[in-house]
Amino acid sequence: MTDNQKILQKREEELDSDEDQNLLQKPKWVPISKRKEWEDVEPITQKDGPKPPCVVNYSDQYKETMNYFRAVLRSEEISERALKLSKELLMISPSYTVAYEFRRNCLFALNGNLKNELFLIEKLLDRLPKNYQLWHHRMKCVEKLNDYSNEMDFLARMMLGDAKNYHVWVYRIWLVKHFQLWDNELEFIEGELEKDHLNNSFWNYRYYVVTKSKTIPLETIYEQEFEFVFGHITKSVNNESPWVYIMNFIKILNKEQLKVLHDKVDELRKRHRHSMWPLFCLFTLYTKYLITEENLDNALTYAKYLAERYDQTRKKYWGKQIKIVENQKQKL
Amino acid sequence: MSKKEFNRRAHIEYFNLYLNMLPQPIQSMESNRMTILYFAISGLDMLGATDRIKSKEVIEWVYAQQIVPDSKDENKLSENCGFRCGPLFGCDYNPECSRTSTYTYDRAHVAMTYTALSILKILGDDLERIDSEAVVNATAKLQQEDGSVAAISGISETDLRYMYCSCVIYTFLDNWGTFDIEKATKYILSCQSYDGGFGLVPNGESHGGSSYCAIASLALMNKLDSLPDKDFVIDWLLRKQTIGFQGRVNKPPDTCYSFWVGASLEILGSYELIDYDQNEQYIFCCQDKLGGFSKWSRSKPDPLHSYFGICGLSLMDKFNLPKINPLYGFRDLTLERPKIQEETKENENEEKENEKKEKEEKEKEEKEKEN
Repeated sequence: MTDNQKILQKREEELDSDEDQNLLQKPKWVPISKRKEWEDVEPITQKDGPKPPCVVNYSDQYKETMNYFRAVLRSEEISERALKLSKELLMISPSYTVAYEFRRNCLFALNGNLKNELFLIEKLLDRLPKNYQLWHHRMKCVEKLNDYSNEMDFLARMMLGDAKNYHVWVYRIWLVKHFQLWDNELEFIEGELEKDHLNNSFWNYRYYVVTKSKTIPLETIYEQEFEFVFGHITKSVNNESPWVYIMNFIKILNKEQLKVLHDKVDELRKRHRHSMWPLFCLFTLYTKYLITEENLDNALTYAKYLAERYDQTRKKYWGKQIKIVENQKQKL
Repeated sequence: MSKKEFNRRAHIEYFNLYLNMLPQPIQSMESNRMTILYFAISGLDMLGATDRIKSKEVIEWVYAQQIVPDSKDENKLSENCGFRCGPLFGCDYNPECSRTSTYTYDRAHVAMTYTALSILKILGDDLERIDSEAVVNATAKLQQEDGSVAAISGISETDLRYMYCSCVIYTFLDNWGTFDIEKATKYILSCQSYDGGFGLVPNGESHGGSSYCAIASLALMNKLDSLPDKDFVIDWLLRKQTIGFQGRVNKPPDTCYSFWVGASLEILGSYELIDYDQNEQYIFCCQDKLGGFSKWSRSKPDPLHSYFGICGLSLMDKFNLPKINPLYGFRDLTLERPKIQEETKENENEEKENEKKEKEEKEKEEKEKEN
């Protein structure tokens, strides 16, 4: 069985033990006005005014669900029926921020099953993986539950759908910090980078783990990261992610470290003459950190290559840089 | 239709459709109705088709979404003031904005307040019915301890989108209230990534949308100079152009970033360094022949990408589109409108006539030579 299959099978097993059967079934909708438990409630209609713009031709289900939901919002009711209604509403209107807060108020007050809530959220996220309210709602439920045991598997499943989903990473950044789950994160992200070194979200997350898990000075982090990053660059010299990652450290390097970096990058330049990144990195080194007349001459040559051949989209930018460096040379 | 032809008429019809009616499959977009209205109104405004807008009716409806202080106690639930997404909560239709009872769950949303004010300004309203004090005070209460801004009072996510919305609100109402600009600046800077762009939250991956929110917010607060290295940011922005603009490193281009990244460059004074032709080419391959723009070529258009596609073209000063104010994301209302279609069509026809005459004369000459 592949890793992915294992991940999905685990979710199926967990869902089998789910008490709330309604999660997976789509029962036939019964108008709320015909349900006995709602007899005492006066529904509240939407007042759109005489000539509203952006008119929607609402379905009957939407209209009626909203009419009753408005009533419980107005009265701030906390009850099982209100809780159930909020779920019906969120299944058809999943971006209504206030409805999530209302639902949580009911859930927490009635000691609702928060683990089931996490299943519901994931079910909705399957359909709408980029819905901000759902991710935030999950965060609040997990916070209240104070139990992160499901979350790594959940994130693994969401990553199967889209490993660059921004919400996945915002959530993980929060989760790891909140519950101090640093221990396995470096190993985790190294594994992901092995599978896809082009995913910039992975690189960003690595930077987070490496700089925030412990308080180590940036200089030490650089020494640790140098081998790892250049291991990836050597395999794929045109990948922007590791280049910008390592270039971020340049400003804190001492003379010796700058030389080592320079030599490494220059070696790559000779081996990959058509790649823009070694040239771009050397340009930065020569014009800001290793300033000599010869280096500025090289910088000008590289800028011209970049403008004319290897980074033509930024032709105008390189033209501007060339003028700046020519000035710089004169002042030397 | 050649790819380079800007199909103004089709785009007008596209926005006009959304202005009047949202298709049922997106009925759940009720919670974003104000922003969709904004795209439709501002889109039509950019296209010079304001004759399609029944301004007075729209203005009334927008004002009816204002949550004003409680009629009996103006401190009661004062944090809820501002604009709703729409009449979702079920309050009475109240375009006069007279004070009524307030309710716990009837809350403004900062993005809806921003788009509501934008709509009113675009339609030339004088903002007389805005309870400025109430809106500013409520918006200031959305600011958190760390300087970030929430979307609504109570518990909601906080990220740079709402920072931007609140800065525009204070700018429009010319009143920053108790908003802590220093804390806000510090928070924004804490969202800067190691590669120069800004994430949506601290430690978040650098992203075109959040970078725009960061840069525009700093500009509105007059705090652009707090950026430790503007060139570093400009470099990141410029590298987002592949053909069109991508939102993040190693991702495909997407129409809306022609605005988010483009406008950021405009604010930082470096827009002229982009490759205009490639940008234009990309936006055009996302143009739908029935109107609107999609995020990628051959996918369906939607109001957001249609609107920002047009904004992206406006930044390049093309197709007689009015100049956009990069800080607000809509037409610069202080400038005169460029001449619209009718006049340019006349010129086009004249040109075509002249070309035709020249061709005929040339053919005549050649025939004479043969003879």
